[in-house]
This record gives sequence, C-alpha cells and structure tokens, in this order.
Amino acid sequence: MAEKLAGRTRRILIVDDDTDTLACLSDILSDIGYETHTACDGNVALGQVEGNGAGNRCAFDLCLLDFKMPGMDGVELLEQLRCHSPELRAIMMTAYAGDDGLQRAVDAGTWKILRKPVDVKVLLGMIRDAVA
Amino acid sequence: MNKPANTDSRGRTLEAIHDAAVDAIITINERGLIETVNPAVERLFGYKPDELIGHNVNVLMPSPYRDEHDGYLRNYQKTGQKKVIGIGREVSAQRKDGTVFPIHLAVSEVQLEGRRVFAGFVRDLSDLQLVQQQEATLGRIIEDSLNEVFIFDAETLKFIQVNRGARDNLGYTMEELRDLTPVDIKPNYTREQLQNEFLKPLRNQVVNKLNFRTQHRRKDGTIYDVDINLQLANYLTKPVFVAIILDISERLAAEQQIYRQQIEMRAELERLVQMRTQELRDAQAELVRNEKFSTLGKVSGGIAHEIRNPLNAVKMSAYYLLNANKPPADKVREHLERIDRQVSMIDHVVTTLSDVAKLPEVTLVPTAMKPLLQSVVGSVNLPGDIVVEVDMPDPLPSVLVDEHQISIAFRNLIRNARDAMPEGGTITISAVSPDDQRVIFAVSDTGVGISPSDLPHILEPLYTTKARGMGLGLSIAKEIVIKNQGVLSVDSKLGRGSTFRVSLRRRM
Repeated sequence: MAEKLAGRTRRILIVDDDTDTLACLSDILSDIGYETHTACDGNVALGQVEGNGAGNRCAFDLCLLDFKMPGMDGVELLEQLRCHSPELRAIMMTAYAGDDGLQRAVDAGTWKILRKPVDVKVLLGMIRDAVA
Repeated sequence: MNKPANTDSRGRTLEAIHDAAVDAIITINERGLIETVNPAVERLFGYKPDELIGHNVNVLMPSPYRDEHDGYLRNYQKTGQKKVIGIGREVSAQRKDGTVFPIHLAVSEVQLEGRRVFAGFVRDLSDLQLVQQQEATLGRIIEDSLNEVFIFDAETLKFIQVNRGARDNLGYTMEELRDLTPVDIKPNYTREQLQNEFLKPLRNQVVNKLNFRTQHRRKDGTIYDVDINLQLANYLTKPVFVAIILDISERLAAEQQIYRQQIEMRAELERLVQMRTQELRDAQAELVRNEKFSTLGKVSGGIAHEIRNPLNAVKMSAYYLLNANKPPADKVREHLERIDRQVSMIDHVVTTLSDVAKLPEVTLVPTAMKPLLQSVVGSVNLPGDIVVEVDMPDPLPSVLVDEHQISIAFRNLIRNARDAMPEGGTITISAVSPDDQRVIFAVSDTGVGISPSDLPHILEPLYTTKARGMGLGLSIAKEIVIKNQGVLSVDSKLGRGSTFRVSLRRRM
C-alpha cells in the first residue's frame, strides 16, 4: 500500500457529530491502511490528543473536522488542537452551501476545505498530499 | 377861496385814499423833484417824507437808471414820446438801505393848477417774483422729472401739459399731444370707462386721489406698464387732472423674472422630491427583494445542510462498498443499512418541507388524543437514554382537531424535546382540562433549555439553535395549532428543560 511506503502508518483524527460520516470515513481510510481515530465532538477529540489521563497520547498526522458541530465547532477545535501540535494539518468538511463562517476556518489555518457530500477520491488525494 | 362843500368832501376822500393806499404814491414836478409822498412810501423805501420832498426822485432808483432818469424826463418833454407814462412796467427800485427790489411802476401825467406834475404808483413785486421764481423752478423740476407728469383738461380731457419724461417715453411731441387725450394712450380703457371709473369720482370729490395700474401705448405701438396717481387740480383757473405716472415695466419684468424663477425652483424641487421618492421606492423594493432572497437563502441553506449530511453518508458508504478490499460481510451489511437509513432521513426532510407546503384548510373533527399521541410517540426515533412518560386523565375529553395535521405538530414537539436532550432524559406528555372549553396538552423535556434571548424567537420559521435542522419544526407546529384554533406557548429554564403547551378546543 502506498500509504505505508513512508515507513510508518499515518494517524488520522476524524471528528464529526454525524456518526454515519464517522463510521464511513473510518471504514474507508482503515481499508486502505490509515490508522483512524474518531470522535463525535470536540471534547472527545481533545481527550484523545491529551491522552485522557491514561498516558496513551496520540500524535496525529492529519485531522478531518466537521465545520459545524454542537458545542465546540470545527474551527474552535482546530485552535485547541494547534496548542498541542502547531504543525497539525486539518481538512475542514462543511455541509453548508454558503461561505458563512468559512473565512474563520481559513484564518485559523485550515489546510483544505471540502464540501459535503464529500467526493471520496478528492478527499483521498488531499489526504495523500497532506501526509506525504 | 372857498370850495363847494361837495368839492371839499371829495378832496378829503381822495386824501384819505392817498394816505391809506397800499401802493406807494409819489408826485414829482417837471424837473424830477419830489413834491408829495404818501405813507406807503416810507414803508416801502425806508425814507421819511422830509428826506424825500424836494429831492430828485432818482434817489429811489438803482444805477444805471438813477443817472439816466433826468434824461428820460427831458426826452419826454422834448419829444412827447411816452415810455412809461400811462403804460406801467416792471422796473427796479432801491431802498434807503441800498437793497434793490422789483416794483411795478405806473406813471400818470397830471395838469395841476396850470403846471405839469407826474404821479407814480409803485407796487412792490418782491413777493410776487419769488412765487413766480418758485413756480418756474417747480415747473423745471416737473419738466425734468423722470416720472411722467400729465395735465389734461377736466372737460375735454385734452392734454395741456406733458413733461419731457412722458414725451420721451411715449415718443410724441407736445404739439401732437395737445390734440390727444389719455384715452389715446391707454389701450385698456375707453373714454367712458375712464370717465366712470376714475374721472367722475374725482370730479365729484368722492375721492381726492386715485392710484391704479394699467398700460400705456407709445406712438410706435409698443406697450409698457404704468402706475398712475391721479388727482383733480386747478390750472390757470380751470379744472384739470394731474396724472403722475411711473413706468413700472422694468420692475414688473424683474418681478416676473423672480416669479418665473420661483416657479422653476418649485418645479425643480418637485422633480427632486419625485426623484428621491422613486429612489426610496426602488430601495424599498430592493430591500424586499433582498429580504426574499435572504429568506430563500436561509431556507435553501438549511435544506442543503439537512440533505447533504445524509447524502454524504450515502455516498461514502457506496464508495466503501465499491472500493473496499474484501470487506467483511457484517461491514457490507452495516453500510447497506446506513444507506437505507440515510435515504429515510432525506425523505424526512422532504416530508417536513411538504408539511409546510401543504398546510391547507383544516378539517376539524372530534378526536381522542390519547391513542393519537401514543401513535406519534411511536413514530419518532428515540435513543435508549430517553424515557417517555404519558400522564393523562382517563377518560380525556375529545378535542376538535385535524387529526393528520395535529399529529405533525406533536411529532415536531416530541422531536424537539428529543433533540434538546443529547445526554438523555425524560419526555413527559400530559393533559389537563381546566374547564369545559379547553384541553391543555404539555410536552416537557429535561434538556438544555432555551436561553431568554432565544425564547421570543423560538417559534419563528428558520430560527434554530441546533447544529442540525432547518428551523422549521416548531414554526410548523405553531402554524398547525393556530389553524386548529388552538394556542401554542412555551416556557423554559436554561439547563433545566422546556415545556411546550398546546391548548385545544373541546368538543362541544
């Protein structure tokens, strides 16, 4: 698998309040060799990064974030994640038609923005570029 | 020698007249020496009688007449040619104090006791000349006046005097004007109108002065506007009308110019107002258009979000099924089930939208709410951590509702309660009948509650506090309740939960 050629498995954090999206992305990315971690909101995601006190802290190569989530939204979460990994790349996914608030995502250092429904081939291309 | 009494009486009479005369009377002999003076002489010339009697009369004359007077006398005695005697003329005289003044001198030659004497009658003309000078000055002023001054006969109306200002403006000479009357230069009046409106009232002294505005016609036919002051006067003993006239054509032109400018300004102002009004209308129309677009944007934004999320899942599941390397059977099943579920969710969105679209007139029928509500609860997907409690008296009075529509309203309220409790909780559905008019149903949750700032808007269409959703559920519920002649109200405590109350009409 191309994804493993660099020597080690790439770790990807997926955060979305839509559990179906989480499950699908996880299945697709796992199937082609990525290590995926999922969270249904920002707090769960931060817990994974900070190790939840269990000491198994994860360093991620990339995060896929839903833009609009209850509580902490994708941009706020990215800002928090950056505290731990300043170089962390993020792909922001949004189901909104307009550009409402997307400028915030750009300003927060989002690497790519992707609209839902996601074209999986495009997403996979972005992921390959991001973790290369 | 005795004179007859009557002669003596006449003499006294003449003497009294001589002494009382206003005119100075002086008699001289053939050589020019004064013989008698009457008292008026002293008043006029300042000499006492004894200063004059026996002196040459030429002391009363200024140079050069003083030196020439003896010559006049000699000449008359030689030739008998009368220059002043029996004629009377204006000459100059000199007072004792040296002042020279005009007099009228009439000289009579009298044969008295066989010798010839001359009697001079002197009338002081100083005052008269002053008046004449003043008249002349006044005449010149009037003649030179830029106002037009007309004097015309009160009977024939023919012009007697017309000043230069008038002649120049009208273009007539004085000779031409003497044959004309005011009627000839007033195009707007006939002789009769002029008589009736102005001249008669003045002549009859109904008024003593008239002012009116009309027009004058020049000799060349052109017209100009005039202000006329007219009055009756006496001129050389006959009644005349005096008209003083001001040419106001320039002033009227200026006034008309101002009037025109005012009209133009008013028109301009009106045009501006209309323009601004139109701009406002356009802006308002634009606003309405924008508002509509904004609403459309909100609706389509909400719909897009609600449809794209399930579509996203469908698409990704399909991708997995198509591309996964030897997927295990349970994964295949899981993704197929997901596709099925997501299609149902899209269908739900479309249903919600058609709920809005088809809120036609209601058909109110008596309905037992308990089984209806139980059926609605059963139709809503509820996670395991949410408990539903139904607390209604038995029997519960029927209410007048449209069964299908009221189901949608309660379904939306129950869904809203579910969405308010992501951590789980209890939904309580209760009913009370406080009187024989109403039954009040309540849907309560133990969820996040609604903030005071959101509460007033929570029933408005497109207003949502949820990450997911179009903001239509509660507004549709409210619309349905209203159509069913009921009332929907809400109260809430942040962090404690919300209660939605639906008051419906009891069956009569």
